[in-house]
Amino acid sequence: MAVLHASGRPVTRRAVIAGVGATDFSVDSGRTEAVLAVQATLAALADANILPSSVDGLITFAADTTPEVVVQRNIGAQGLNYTGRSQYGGTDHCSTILQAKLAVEAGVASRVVCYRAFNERSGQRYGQGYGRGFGGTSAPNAETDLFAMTVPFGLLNAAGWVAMYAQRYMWLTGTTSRDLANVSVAARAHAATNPAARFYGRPITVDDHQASKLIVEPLRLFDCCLETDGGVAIVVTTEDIARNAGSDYVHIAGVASGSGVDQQMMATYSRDDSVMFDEIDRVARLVWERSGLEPDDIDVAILYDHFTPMVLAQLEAYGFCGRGEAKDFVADGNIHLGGKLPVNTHGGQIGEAYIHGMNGIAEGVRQTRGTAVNQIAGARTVLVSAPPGTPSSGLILTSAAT
Amino acid sequence: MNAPADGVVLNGPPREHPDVTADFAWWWDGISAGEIRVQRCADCGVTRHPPHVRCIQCGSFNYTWNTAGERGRVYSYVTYHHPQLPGFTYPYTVGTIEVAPGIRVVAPMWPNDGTGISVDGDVVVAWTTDMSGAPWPYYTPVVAR
Repeated sequence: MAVLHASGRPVTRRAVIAGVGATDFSVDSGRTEAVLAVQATLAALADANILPSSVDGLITFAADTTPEVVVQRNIGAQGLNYTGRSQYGGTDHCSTILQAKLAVEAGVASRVVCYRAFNERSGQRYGQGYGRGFGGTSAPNAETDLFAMTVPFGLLNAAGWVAMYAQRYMWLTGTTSRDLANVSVAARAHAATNPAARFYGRPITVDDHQASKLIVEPLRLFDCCLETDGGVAIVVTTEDIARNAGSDYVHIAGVASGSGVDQQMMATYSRDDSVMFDEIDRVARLVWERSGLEPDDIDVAILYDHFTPMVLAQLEAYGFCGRGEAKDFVADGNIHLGGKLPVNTHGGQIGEAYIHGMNGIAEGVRQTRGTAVNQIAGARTVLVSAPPGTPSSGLILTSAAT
Repeated sequence: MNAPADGVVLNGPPREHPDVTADFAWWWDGISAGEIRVQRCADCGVTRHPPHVRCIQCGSFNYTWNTAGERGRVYSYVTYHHPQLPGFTYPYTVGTIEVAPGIRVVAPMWPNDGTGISVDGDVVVAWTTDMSGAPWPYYTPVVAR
């Protein structure tokens, strides 16, 4: 028998996103990663109107340097019933929401904050690559063994790992560098009208993209995301708590994390071409199944754009266009504001900030609420997705407004 | 430009082989012996790369290896220009080479700027040396004669 409120409404532990928060995005924050993590967490809790002392779950990334207990101590939370990490850095970012939802709906925790904060520009710059071992200080292990299959030969950073996919994908589909430019031009156009974006007021043209320097061929500078100092946090709680707090909450219609056949960290080159991006295909199937939605239902898409070719891969895997047709889909202007499927309306990680996808989840929440700076009129359903990697992940948000 | 100069270690600063566990040491021993090795299940004979610790076909933890032939085909390749790290010479090119059906190995390529290298192109392995004088592989296009 269902438990009822005094009002007669059933008590539900259905998880919702109740708040989002961020620090400023910069190239030199002037403060530690712990300070950024705490500030982002407090901003998200203030947005949700939930007391920091009541937080009982914290989730971050395996690569994050600020432990859950450090955030706990510095927000004044009394104690935690759940802590967790999503794998590596970005691309599994939606699994922070998956874990939070599972914890909340299982009754393990009630007020969970997912956070990611780093000085990725002024501190450790991921794009600079890795040395002989991954991390440099650990004894050899199964993880460093796999990195040793790429890094010692000079394939030593994410740009290289993705460029290897990109070259194959471009050869298979006839995609050119000018096609990739269309992704970057859209992101920069959206960033140009977002005051929080690093590239606010600085749109580019296809020719600008073509004139940007080569980073790892076939990728140019403007195919690459930013390097950013900053933090973002997301609050997940029950619908009842969110409603009682007066939070402007949104529903989690479907969320998934998944690896694919023969998965390796960002460099799975052993697959047949038909399953080249198997982890994206798997996550796409899962979020469509779990949400009961389909591509035509999506009003805005936030596609993880660490590098432009992977935006094309996600458009195809999620079924917004056919295999190999993403270059035409973006050339037709569909991904711009006012297009059929506005993509990365905040400017993405190419134009706004690189916070390992968490700023994209925040934008998804704002678009679903109707409060984004580049708001798509009437947006009620938003997809947040990820490229191949570590694993991949995806999330569909829907409006709670009636 | 037909080959890197003697003593040039592709791609990056002179260095010794990476530290790896016993699960992968035999593969690096192959590099030291001037061989590209392909792991083979000692019980059912299936080949796989990168190496496994267990055969997913028959369950065996026992393995041996084949030595790959000299020829391969380019699955994909990239050419690094930036960021420019100390000790590296730019540009440099890295390929993923199919050395046997379904077996793809990441390795340096030459020419360093990628000239003449293409996806699906035929390549052949050659060897230079690392800082200790041990073999270090690279793949280069097979030139029509």
